Amino acid sequence: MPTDMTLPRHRLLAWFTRGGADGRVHSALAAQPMAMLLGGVVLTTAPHLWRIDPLIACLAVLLTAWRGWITWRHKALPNHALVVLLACFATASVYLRGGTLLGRDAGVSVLVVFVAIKLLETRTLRDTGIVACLCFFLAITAFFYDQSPLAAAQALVATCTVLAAMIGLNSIVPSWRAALKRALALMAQALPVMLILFVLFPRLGGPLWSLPDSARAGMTGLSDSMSPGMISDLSQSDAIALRAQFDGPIPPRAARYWRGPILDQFDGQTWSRTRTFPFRPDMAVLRGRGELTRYEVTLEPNNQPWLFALDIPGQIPPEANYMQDYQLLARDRVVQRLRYRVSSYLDYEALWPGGKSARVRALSLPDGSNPRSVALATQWRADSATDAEYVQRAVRFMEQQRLVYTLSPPLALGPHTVDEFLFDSKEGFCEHFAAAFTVLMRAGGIPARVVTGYQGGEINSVDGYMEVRQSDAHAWTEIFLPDRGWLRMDPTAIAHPARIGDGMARALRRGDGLPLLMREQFSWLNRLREHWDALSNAWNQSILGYDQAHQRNLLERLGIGALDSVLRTVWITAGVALALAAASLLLIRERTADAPAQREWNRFCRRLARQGVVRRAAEGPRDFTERACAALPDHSALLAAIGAAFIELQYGPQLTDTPRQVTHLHRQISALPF
Amino acid sequence: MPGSAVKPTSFLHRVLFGPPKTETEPIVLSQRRVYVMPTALGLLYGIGLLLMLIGSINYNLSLGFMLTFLLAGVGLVTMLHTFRNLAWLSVRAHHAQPVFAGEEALFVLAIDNPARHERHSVMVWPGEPPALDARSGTDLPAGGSVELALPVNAPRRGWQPCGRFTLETRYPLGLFRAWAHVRPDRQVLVYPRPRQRPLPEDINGPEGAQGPVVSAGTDDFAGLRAFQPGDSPRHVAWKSASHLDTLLTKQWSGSRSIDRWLSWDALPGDLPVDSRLEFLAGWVMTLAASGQRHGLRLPGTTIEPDGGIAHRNACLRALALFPGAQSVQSNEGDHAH
Repeated sequence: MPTDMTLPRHRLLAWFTRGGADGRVHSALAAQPMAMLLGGVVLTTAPHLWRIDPLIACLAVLLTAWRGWITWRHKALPNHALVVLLACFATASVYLRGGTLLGRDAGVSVLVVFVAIKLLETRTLRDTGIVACLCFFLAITAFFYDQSPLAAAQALVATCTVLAAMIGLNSIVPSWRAALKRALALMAQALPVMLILFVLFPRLGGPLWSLPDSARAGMTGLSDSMSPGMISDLSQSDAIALRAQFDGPIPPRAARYWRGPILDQFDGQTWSRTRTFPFRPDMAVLRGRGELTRYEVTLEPNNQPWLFALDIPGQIPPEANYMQDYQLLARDRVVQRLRYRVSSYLDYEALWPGGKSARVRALSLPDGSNPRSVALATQWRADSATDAEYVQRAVRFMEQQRLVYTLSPPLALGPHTVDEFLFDSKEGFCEHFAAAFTVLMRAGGIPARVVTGYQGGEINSVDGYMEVRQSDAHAWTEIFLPDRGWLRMDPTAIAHPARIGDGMARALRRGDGLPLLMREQFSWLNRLREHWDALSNAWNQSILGYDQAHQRNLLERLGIGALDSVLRTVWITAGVALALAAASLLLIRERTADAPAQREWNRFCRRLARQGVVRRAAEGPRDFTERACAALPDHSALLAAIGAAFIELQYGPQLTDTPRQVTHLHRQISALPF
Repeated sequence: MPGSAVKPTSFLHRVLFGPPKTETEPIVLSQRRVYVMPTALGLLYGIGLLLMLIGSINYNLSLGFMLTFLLAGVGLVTMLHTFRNLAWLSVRAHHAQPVFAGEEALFVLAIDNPARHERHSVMVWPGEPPALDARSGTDLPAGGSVELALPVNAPRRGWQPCGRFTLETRYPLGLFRAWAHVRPDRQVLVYPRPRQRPLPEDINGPEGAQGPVVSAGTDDFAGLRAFQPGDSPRHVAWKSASHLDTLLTKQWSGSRSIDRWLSWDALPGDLPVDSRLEFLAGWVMTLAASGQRHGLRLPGTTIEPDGGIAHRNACLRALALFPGAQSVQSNEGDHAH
């Protein structure tokens, strides 16, 4: 019989939704603040839903929605056993989907889903408090991924909502409006404490324990190798790569070559970097001409050790290494926004050819690769008397070959990528140009290597910072001539001078998928973006970049530099105490306020004093009213009524409708014509 | 003695020995008598903040620091809010109506809020704290007041002081609790618990016996009076109860009503004092319910026969305050009025 088949399932369902272990079927918590708490949970969870595993995200959304339905329809909370089951299921799926329960992403997943599960166990006031604490914790984990002003605003709104929910849950007659107002007041009053702690709390130079690798995921930037298509992919991103603030004049556009990883190994497809050793760039290997260009770089995290500097770095930051290929490297990967001061020679002679193996690498080509190019180079070599003449021929070839500069070059090139680019497709992005030119140079016996980095950078007219974006990613060639040292050759610029002079947008052929911000018809969008970037830069510099050095700086400017730990503790304590004292003055001052009736009476006395009837120190209300009636006979009826009302209020038997009487007294006093 | 070394009103004295026994009204919850301590949730919140701080340090999250410090600030400020929500309330108490031993006396506490800000969720309870979720609170508008009837157990006859009331609040966030104890100088008269026992045959007064008159006083309807504990449910005017707030008892005047004497000596000699008083109270209630005039004869006290509520209460009062083993409060209670 069908009923027999379905009965057990119904029973099971009924048992699971029967209510909690404490026997209470309905949640006793008020619906309105509970809904607010749910709102807070949604606000804190929302930014994470896109980052965690979809299965976990769906589970969290479903459970939260279930709790919402329970609150809305006053349904029973699920049985404890079901909740435990759900928790086990959630933990298992986080483990199975991610392979671990440790680390940032797994931790966030667990937290997100456990907040939702805890909601289904939320029966008492204490439970809601735990949910609120979990929400605060979730809010801070969002900053692992994003510390933009938007993320901050999101966390602020979520925190305010959760606080308001807590207030509502602790109220007898919850009103979301009053709760929200009180939450905002709490946060406003907490602001001084926050500022004092933020400024004074000691910052450490490094982490307490080593960061897990997952903290570094999802960063874009140049890598330590280059294969066709990699830089054009990067060029699609509008993200800021670095910002620079120049002390002196801003270098011209053609000199804005930000030197990054040097790639000198070529396997026919991919160019890759070789580890070199640091050295001291003294006069023997680096001769700068002209002034040093001094500037400060704020580098976005790229999960690589590259420190970018204008070609070629002169004085380097103390925490950097000057490598033998004239590249700056940080001691560790840049996983947080990094600020450093550096200076560059825009005109230079870089005379160190590299160690023995580096010199070999700078000339080597894989056997049998790109035969057409090699053949062409062999022919040029035979025709050229000097290296300079050889280079001239190659440059002229690049100019005349009608090579198309495009963001979307044909994919699936064969084994001889350079040959195909130079002679068949003739379409490529800067990595094709740089690779081709480097191969031509090496084939002619001239040491050459590929340099990747950024070319360009726009000045933000709002704050004056130069912004270099991922879309400015570039690759060029460096050749070594014995008398000149390393020479920068930009084959892209040779073929398309507009790329350097006017930027990528002009140089690309029409219809290419340019990043949105590079399109000219969106110039208004660009201006808007400029403001936004200036704002986020100010945010980065002053708030996110507030580190040990800046703290020391600021404290010195405030005249309290060089704080030892004891003195700092004293300062923090004193500051917080002062802020709290100010808050308590503001809050508790009112206790001495007169009772409402007394206030009205004082107002009455002030009005009469203006008419010359001044109450004497020991004069009671009855005597004073009588005297006032005598002095102002025109208003004696009203005066007597006011006196009687005050006496009734102050000395009569306490009645429950006092506020109404006070209001009445207030009206009477206001009715006085003077 | 520490008590004599310290001035009775000093702070140390109050910390060591608690507030004075009873206080004159109105009792103002001044700054010094409002205590503030973090709740369990407050401690959890603190631990959470500590974890957030460690995370912020380790990952060097500037915004993490900001949020942590903002919440720390909120935590500190909420302590002030909680304190302010209770401080400077003023409390007045009223005497409770007499009750029988074993019942609950209702003390009315009037709480005034003289300040210009509202008070939220102020919870009041007598004696030991009830379970957290069983507490109910009250809001007080600025300048407003509220009266709360609080049941206090009255286990023993005699004068019983109202004892200690606790006022507590956890508003706004529940991270801190502020509380204050008050001991108003109020008491309740507790009558002995009436116990039923057949009226003795030989307790007739000097006017002479007329036989047991248990069912007397049911002849003529004499009117209604307020329901008293001990009244027979058969005499309750249920019809009027349906449209009135209070219960009324129908009173009957029996034509055969006569004065009866309830005497201490009518009870067996081996009964303890309190049992005697309880049986006497039972008889008083029985006779009063049936509207019969009666007098009370106790060692050292004699109340002349009379009828009515006032007389009944006088008898019960005499029984309540009869010196004896259980009446521990009687000495200090008598001077209250």
